[in-house]
Amino acid sequence: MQHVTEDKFVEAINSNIGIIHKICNVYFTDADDRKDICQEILYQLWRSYPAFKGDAKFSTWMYKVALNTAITYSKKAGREVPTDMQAGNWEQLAANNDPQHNYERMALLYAAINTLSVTDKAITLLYLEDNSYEEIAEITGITKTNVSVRLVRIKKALKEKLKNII
Amino acid sequence: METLDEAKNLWQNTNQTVEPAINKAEVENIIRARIKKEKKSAAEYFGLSFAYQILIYAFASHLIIKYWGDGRVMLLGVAGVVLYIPLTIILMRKFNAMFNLPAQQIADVQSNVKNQYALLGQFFNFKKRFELLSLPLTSVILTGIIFMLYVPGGVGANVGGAVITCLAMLLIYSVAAWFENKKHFVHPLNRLRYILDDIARVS
Repeated sequence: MQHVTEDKFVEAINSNIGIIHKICNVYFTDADDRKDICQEILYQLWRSYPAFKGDAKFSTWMYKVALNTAITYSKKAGREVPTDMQAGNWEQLAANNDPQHNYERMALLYAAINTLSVTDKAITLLYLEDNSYEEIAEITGITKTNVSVRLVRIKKALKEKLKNII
Repeated sequence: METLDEAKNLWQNTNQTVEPAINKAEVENIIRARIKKEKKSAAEYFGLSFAYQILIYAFASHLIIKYWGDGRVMLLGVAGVVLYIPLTIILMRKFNAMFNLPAQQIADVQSNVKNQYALLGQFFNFKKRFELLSLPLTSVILTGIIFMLYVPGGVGANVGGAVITCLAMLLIYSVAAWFENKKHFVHPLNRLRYILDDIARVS
């Protein structure tokens, strides 16, 4: 890879660096695993970058590479909510606008998402990141209708999980 | 309560912290370390296979040269070489492909997993078919050579012993192949199948 491209590559990655961290946080709970997978995603992005023609949004391309990497490397999904994440109640915390409570709610949200299957995690993350159904379908390879159906089911499942985290 | 919509609001408002930027030197270090790691793990798998095959070729060549003119030994030596040539060619192609992967258009998650599953499955199918043929033949050839060269009377005078040796060799080879296939092919393929099923699942 030439230096000109490298500079452009690093600049483009830095503009969207949050994507890598959020995907790592959703798919991996262990700090070392997160570090490893962040590096793996960066490597896969670097390897695929010469083929990026710019016909799609850079962030869409980055989601594809990062999710492909995370899903391939993640262990089977469906873990139980870690006990240290069960200290709060989503509803109670929601009633409080204190930023500290928001961080606790985020921890609960991550814990609840962590119990979903690998594909549902991807769909949830893309939805939370405000991607449209079309974009979610393009990134995951699932039809738009299926994205919609799965989101209804995910909403139900998350509602249940977050209610039960008391 | 629309929990996911609430979660979306929370995500948008709370989870948008600015992550520290990564500089060029860090990127280069990560890439260098990752390439080194990839080469090491590839070398572990392919290196052992190549080393084993080089031993087979060296042993077969040694026998052919040493027993030049002895038709039976030469035939067994040549059979051993011919048997392993296809696997060596496939392995070299695979090895070359792993280290010279061109940058490809990135497909969606489902297509990418399907591709990975197909590539790994194809190689595994070839390997299984090859093992079905090569393991018994390798056992027979090695037993023939051992008894012909080192056991007085050869196979003809020790049929029972030769059969037991051959079966023992076949068992050892099969167990080794089973463990190797489980680690490098069955588990990864099951994992990819699970992801594909999960992607395809609608209700």
